[in-house]
Amino acid sequence: MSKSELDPEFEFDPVFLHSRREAIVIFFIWVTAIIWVVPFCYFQGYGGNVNPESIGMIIGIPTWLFWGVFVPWVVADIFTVWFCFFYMQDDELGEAHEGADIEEELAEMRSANGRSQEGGA
Amino acid sequence: METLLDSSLLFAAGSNSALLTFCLYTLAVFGIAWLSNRLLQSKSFMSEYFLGSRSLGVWAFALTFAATSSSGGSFTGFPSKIYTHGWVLALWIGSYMVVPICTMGLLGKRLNQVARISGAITVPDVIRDRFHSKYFGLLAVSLIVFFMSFNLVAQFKAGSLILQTLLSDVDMFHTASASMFGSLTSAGGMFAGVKPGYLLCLFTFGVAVIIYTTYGGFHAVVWTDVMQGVVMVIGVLIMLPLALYQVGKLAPPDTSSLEYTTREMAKMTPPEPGTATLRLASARGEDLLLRGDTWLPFTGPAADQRLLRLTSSVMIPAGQTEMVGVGILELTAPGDITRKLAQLTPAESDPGIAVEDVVTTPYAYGSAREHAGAFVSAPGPSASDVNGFLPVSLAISFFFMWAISGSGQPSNMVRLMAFKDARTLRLSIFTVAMYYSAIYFPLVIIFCCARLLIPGMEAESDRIMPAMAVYLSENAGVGWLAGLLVAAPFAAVMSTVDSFLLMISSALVRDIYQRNINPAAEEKMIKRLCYLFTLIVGTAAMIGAINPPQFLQDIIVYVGSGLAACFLAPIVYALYWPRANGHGCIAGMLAGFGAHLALYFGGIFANGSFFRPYRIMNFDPIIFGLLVSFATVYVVTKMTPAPPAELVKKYFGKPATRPSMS
Repeated sequence: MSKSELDPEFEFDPVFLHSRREAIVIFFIWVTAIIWVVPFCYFQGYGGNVNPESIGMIIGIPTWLFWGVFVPWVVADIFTVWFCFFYMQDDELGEAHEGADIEEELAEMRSANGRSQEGGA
Repeated sequence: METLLDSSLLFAAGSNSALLTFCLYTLAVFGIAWLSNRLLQSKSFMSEYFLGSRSLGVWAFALTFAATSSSGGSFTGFPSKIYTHGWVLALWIGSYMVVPICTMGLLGKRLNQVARISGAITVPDVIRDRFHSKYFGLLAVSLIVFFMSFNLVAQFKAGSLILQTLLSDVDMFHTASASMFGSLTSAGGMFAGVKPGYLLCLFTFGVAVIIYTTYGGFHAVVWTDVMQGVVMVIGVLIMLPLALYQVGKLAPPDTSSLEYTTREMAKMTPPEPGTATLRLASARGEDLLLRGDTWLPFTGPAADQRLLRLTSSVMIPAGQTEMVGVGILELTAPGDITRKLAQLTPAESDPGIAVEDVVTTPYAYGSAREHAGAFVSAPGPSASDVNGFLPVSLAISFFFMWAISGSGQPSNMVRLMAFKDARTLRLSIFTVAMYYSAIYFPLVIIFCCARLLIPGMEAESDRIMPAMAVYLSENAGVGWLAGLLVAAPFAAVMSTVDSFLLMISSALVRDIYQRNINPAAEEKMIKRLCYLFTLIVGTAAMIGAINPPQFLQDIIVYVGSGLAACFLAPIVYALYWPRANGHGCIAGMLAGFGAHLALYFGGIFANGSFFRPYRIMNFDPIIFGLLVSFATVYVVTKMTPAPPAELVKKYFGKPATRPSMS
């Protein structure tokens, strides 16, 4: 539903707009992670790509896992720091309307009962 | 080097610490429940009982989220898998690098806001209010109760099994279970065939969880999660340097511990399970009990190169000299054999038992010469699958299962409705990301080291966590530490069970009773029902776990992915697409449920079992379920009328333009 389908005064809630933008960024990070990790490990770590006689290692971790999981994990953590401290907005989430849904339903029930009584009369 | 006797004592000492830790732990959670109950006296009861009055701060929110997500499996199943399959588990768990930001960030802020707008307390509440549809709410609550009930029974069973494993060397435990439940289990009925030890653990664990959850509500669950989360990370961070230090003692001077571990693992071949005949030189006057961890150096022609161990305890009755078909595990890697032989005392090296007729089965993947280096490469060794432990299609599936499917779990969503403000959310995402980084990659390193330090544990790999905790702490001269370290699995499973329990009781009291049967119910009545239903649901699940249905572990897997296939797409569209309507989201929920279920039914025809689902292109059914669900919501929504403008304004408009709350 576009803004034009609603009344001209309507404006989207900035919390919704910020949340959606942040969710899209996060989704792309997930896509980046899977595109980095799985193909890299597939080509470097599967089948006969690892020679047990002379296995490559960096700080004791098999090379394919170092570049395929350990490094992207560190990068993901760095990204998380950026996201949490420099990108994500401190939006005002609003007051919780405790019991509002129940009140609304009770009001609807009362009005439905009122209508049926009027109809019956 | 320890003798068999020494190592038995050592394990018993560690397990006594485990018993003491469990008792202290239980006391602590009861204290927390008491404090939480005091909060219930002063606030809006239902919001406090099921949602902690939406007031969780950074530490509480971050650690309850982390602890609930890391189920008991993280501290028993995961270490066991690392030990059994090697370095490839780093890839298996790799998607955890983005799990915190995905599971908390994708939905968190918006879900919290939408729940505040309507006053929603549960996930079905959110759905019902957002689409103003009673029937959609009922559908959501039915699916949650259906899936969660199975899961709750399964988690009770898992918790009891973990406790039983950890206490298996405590004499007092065996005495107590035999005297309390021995006659009950031999009497037949629903207790027939159930082990007394399992029953004792089930009732101890179950009653503790039910009481503190019922009495304290959400805050009790959250605060115990915080305590449990802290225990878990401390346990791992202490174990990592101790494990590397112990391996360092074996390594050559110019080689680092981890480098030595990886190099030795590259030479390893998986041990082979099988059977053998045990023969005594002469008959004995009394029964001979051989413990499950007895080692049997093979006395055949190549005696110096073969080493076997039993896989479970064996009793050779008095007067007999041989036992046929005894379960054994044979080490096949020369390095493992050398290391283990060096740990055995002369008495253990010659237990006076001849081993004959050894028949072993090689691993389906990992034993053959062309699979050399299986423990340091992918897909990793597998006893039963010729494609190995982690084929690449499964590696892709796990990226969906952990990060995406995790976002779709209602138990995670409830927590996202409970944090205090947006600042809490962003600081918590950071905290959980650091927390997972501090736990998961170090766990891989610790249990790769375990392959060198404790060879042959494949026979009882579920015990590798407590075994390693005891080994490390005793060898470091700090035996008391074992109690703290083995507390981590208690912690993990408790924090999962309590949140599931509260979810089901909230579904019954809030979503069914208050919202459909008696919206005008007084708070006093609601309060009684909350206590009553939490107690009843917990007790019913505990009774269900006495003799749980077969395939329970498979049910957990089915439930986890099934919930995501049902809930993720409708919730994402509900939060982020103003055009989304009830028709589309109901269709998407049912389509996700149906598509996922269809692949499991397809497994009956394709693979002969419901729990071996049909996998399209070898991908897990969750991927297909999610795709179908997302596509269905979009298509059906486009084909059906737009939602009422009032509803869109209420949930998507600026606060000033929202319709007034009733």
